[in-house]
Amino acid sequence: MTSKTKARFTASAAGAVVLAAGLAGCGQSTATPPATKSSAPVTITFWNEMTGPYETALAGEIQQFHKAHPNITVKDVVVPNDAALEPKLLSAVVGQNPPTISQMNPPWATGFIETGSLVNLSPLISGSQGFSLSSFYPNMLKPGKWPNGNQYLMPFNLGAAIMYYNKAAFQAAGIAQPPTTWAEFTQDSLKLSGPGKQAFAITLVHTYPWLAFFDQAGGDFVTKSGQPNPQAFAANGPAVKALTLWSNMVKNGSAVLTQGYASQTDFANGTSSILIGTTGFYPYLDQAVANKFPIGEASLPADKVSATSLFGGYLGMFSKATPAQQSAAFAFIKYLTSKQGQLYWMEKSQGYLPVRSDVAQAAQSFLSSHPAQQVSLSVLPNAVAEPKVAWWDEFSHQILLNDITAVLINKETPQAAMHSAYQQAVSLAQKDGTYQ
Amino acid sequence: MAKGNRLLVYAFLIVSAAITLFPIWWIFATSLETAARAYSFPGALIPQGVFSNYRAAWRLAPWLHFLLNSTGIGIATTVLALFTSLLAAYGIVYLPGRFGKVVLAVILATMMIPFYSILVPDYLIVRDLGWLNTYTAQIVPFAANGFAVFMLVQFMRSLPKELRDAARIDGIGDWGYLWQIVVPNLVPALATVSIYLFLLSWNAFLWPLIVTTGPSVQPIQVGLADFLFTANGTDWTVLSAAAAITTLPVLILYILAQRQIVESVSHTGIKG
Repeated sequence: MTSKTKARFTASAAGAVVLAAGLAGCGQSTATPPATKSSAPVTITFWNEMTGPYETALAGEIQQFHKAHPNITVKDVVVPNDAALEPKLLSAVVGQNPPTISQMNPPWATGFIETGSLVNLSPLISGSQGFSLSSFYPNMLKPGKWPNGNQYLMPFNLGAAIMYYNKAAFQAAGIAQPPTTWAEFTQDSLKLSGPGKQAFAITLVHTYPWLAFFDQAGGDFVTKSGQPNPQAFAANGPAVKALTLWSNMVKNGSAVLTQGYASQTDFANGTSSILIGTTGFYPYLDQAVANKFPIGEASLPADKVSATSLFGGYLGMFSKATPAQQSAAFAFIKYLTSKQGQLYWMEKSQGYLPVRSDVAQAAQSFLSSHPAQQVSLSVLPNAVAEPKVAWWDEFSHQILLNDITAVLINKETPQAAMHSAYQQAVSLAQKDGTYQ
Repeated sequence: MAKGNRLLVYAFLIVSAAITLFPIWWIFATSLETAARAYSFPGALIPQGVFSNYRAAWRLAPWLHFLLNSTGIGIATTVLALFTSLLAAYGIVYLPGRFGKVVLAVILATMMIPFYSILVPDYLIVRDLGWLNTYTAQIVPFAANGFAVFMLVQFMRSLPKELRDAARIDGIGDWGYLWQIVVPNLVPALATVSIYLFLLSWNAFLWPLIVTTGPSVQPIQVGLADFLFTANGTDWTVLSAAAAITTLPVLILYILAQRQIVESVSHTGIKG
């Protein structure tokens, strides 16, 4: 599904969620969690987008959980990606037939919370069968927590943007260390570029690689009231600054915009030497590069602040499930986000980071042989999560992505693109609401 | 045709064939490559015989099951839609009354409704009927097709009026005329419409994704999507092997039915 059609469907389906929930009389402000606990057999469904290598890792997690909870059966339903999961989830919620739990992006949850379709996890977390949140990274927990103080979503599969580089190319260009500032980044990229070679292969499947630079420039797209922040889009603001950096690099031949994950192909065959992505890139890069050259990992070059972007999914539970299913689902969420569950997840998925700090201490031997995870963990304290305001998903996946692309292919200036993006963000905020 | 012109035509056809076959060759070559060589050029075009990619792809998903699902759903949808379209087209073309054109316009108007706007209502109907996660949910909603009706109406209108008059004199009623005269005369047209309907069903993705929750009833497009849209990158060698596995049956089918397919398409060109 294209982002345009997805956005069109999302808008109409989101409205339908509210309407259907109202008609079904389930529109209480917050769904109440179950109080029962039973050892009778119970089956829960878990919708997620963990495909490829992650599907195998998640199947292992579920197997571990089944061993510890023989009365609970988790039915794993894998959907290709979030562009497919979102309409599937919205249709199911409208049809009063949602899964017990699902992976989701925080902006999707706003509509579900408004209609009482999502369970407030806070009473369960603080209850007798609950767990402590003190070990969780606060910046990963935050997007799952709403202003009323309730935790509706728990972080599960998250990664932080880091820089991958070709160590051999850096050495050949006389660059001893990976760049630590934007100025060094542009200078080094020029040194690494030449005929048929552009140092920085830009991946724009999602906006998170660019958002990392926007965050470094001190940007924040959303005000405290949930409205688009005009300062972020201003002609002398952080968005224009980050866009200008990338667009100048494309213009001087030291960067190239690629389609899909073709940046990984460019990196592997040596036509580019710098990539920005999450730890999830590593297994693919490692396989593609094989022994052609050593791959280096580093934190992103900094500007005003040292920051990176967080990218990934959260877990939410639906109130339509029976009390027994909700109890079982909470036990599953508790396991997936536990130290044991997260350690297994990081080691087996080899793509995502643990969502709690105590995992790193227990994974020293794994981290010593997995530098991408090590670098990602080191930048986590400075990682910025995407906003969870209702209008963000469509803005980020469609408007912002299109505007960044328009600038990089020289169809628009950064100033004009961000001016237009602001206008569209304001319209979206009026349409989708600012609830967050 | 002059010898020089013939050479030019052959040269054009060879180049066209090479352009058409190149991506298919690339898929098959990549499916037999090591991951590192798959990223090199022209190395990636020379297969290395790495059959482990096929073993890996085969283990990743129940491809045969997905293929059988797609084939079954496609055939059932095509047969049902063809049947309903034939009846509708016949009614519009031959039955007395002035409403034929209006009915056709209404049927054509249904094609203007964006699929996304009826997705949720359709989902609710399918849920209420208890059809979620079944083959029925993937077949019945597509058992009538506006475009197929439109095409068959055009084909039926091209049949000479005298045929019907002659059939009437022989005492053949509407039902008999449809099956004994119209259908045998529209075989190439029916083949064209069938191919259209089958491909429509074969390529369906969003609807099966939404109404199904497991590989037991899911079609190949949903199964393949797991490999096309991974979160952080693409394993090109295994993906190519998976693409080759799923393409092969269709390719064989096309080779076997090549004459009929080409004939039906050329007939469409002449009559349409």
